[in-house]
Amino acid sequence: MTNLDFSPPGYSKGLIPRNYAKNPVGYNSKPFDLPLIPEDEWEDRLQILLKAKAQLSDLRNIGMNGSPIPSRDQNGKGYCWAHSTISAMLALRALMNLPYADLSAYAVACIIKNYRDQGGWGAESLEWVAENGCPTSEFWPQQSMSRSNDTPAMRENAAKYKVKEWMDGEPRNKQQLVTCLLLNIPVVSDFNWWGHSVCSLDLVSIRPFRTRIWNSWGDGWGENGTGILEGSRAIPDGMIMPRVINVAQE
Amino acid sequence: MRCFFALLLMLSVCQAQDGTEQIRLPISKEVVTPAAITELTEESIFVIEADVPCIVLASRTGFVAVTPETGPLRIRGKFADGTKVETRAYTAKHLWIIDAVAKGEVELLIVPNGAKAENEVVRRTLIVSGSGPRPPTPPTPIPDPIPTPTPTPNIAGKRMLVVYESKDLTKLLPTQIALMSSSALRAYLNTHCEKSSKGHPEYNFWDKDVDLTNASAVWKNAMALPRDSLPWLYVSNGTTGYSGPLPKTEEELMPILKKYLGD
Repeated sequence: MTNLDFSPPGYSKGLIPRNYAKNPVGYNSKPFDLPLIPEDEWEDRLQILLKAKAQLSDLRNIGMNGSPIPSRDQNGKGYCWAHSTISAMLALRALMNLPYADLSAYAVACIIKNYRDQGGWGAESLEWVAENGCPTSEFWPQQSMSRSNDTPAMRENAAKYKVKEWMDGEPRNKQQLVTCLLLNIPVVSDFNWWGHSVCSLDLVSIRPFRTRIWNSWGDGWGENGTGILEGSRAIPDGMIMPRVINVAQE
Repeated sequence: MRCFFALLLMLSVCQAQDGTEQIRLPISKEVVTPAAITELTEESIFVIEADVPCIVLASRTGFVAVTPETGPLRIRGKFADGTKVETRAYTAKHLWIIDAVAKGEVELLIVPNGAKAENEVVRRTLIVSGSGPRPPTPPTPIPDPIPTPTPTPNIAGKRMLVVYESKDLTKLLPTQIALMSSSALRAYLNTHCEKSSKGHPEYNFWDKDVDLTNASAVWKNAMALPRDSLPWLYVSNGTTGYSGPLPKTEEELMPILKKYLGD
């Protein structure tokens, strides 16, 4: 397993942990509503997915015309909390077999934070994207902080790429996390120990407990932009899970 | 089965946004499987009326004559779907009169101006007959050993669609979850389904409630096809296909796909 650098120089994070006292589960989203997969089924289900190479990371690896979908890159701004939602949307698009769309998380973060380099949490961005969508880089270039990007055409493009159904998970609920990953539902995951928000893609193993996450530090980090978290570090302190997104085929 | 094909015949017209049919064809006296077929005798005429400009083509040439007319128009004659000489008043602006020229089978294709997808083309097969011998009746197809409960030719081209309910994913078998993301299955579909205008393989795995505002017409139509349960599988090769519950495993699914999409 690659030794991951969780704080490489020059790389920013940006998580502001969600205050669950002020913003409890379900305050702005439907709470997690799937029946939980019993723990005694986890191993068999995982093996079935592994045998078929049928996990979200497998789909990510062919999701751009047969090539890997490029990792998002927050490029030194504290916008991890927006990029994690967009990574989850890209994984869902691959699952649905929608064509690759170069969604631009900077649009989401800039507008929410009024162009300030400020942190947030994953649910903040996902709930905004559910309402407003996210444009492609054709309408908001990657890593651009320019207010001139916010045009009616950009808003129209963004509206094509919305989250339609999602669930607000409970903090540190391992069963909810594993249920989603075994059903190929990506999890926008906030990790307080890391000060960072990323997208959980796969259950890698149960003993030891390991998950694969998709970071927003470009493809040069970890294994093509993904890394393995283990044990308690793999269980998010904040989770929100998109499971249906709009069809946009252009 | 007849009810299904009657539905298929009804779907063989284009509909305006307000639900009215923009292209109207005579309704056959008898619905004949597998596609709508009308007999056109030497002395009868087949009239197509449309509210939108169209191109009407006859494939193969030489069996019928296609004469455009401008409506509204009263026409007297023996109509393909009538039993005697009568006068009919056609109110549509765009009319085409189809006359028999030579005996044989011909397919009419009615292409609305500006059509962007194959499924916007209306098709009707005519068997042109007369006082001479009729074309031979096509042989009855031998029943296929693979169960095909509800053939669905109404998805254009080689396409596959799986529709599911994301709220019920835990009710699916683990093998069904796996086949929806299987690398081997995707590799097969990538090479056997036709490509969109932008080169993207045309198959999808969609929740039944996806927003289709920005979906292409062919997929909007496919999502509107009937189904009895979820998850549901549609496979089409443009002519016929499969519509039924999603098989339990990839091993059960592949023979269905290969039958319609090829080995």
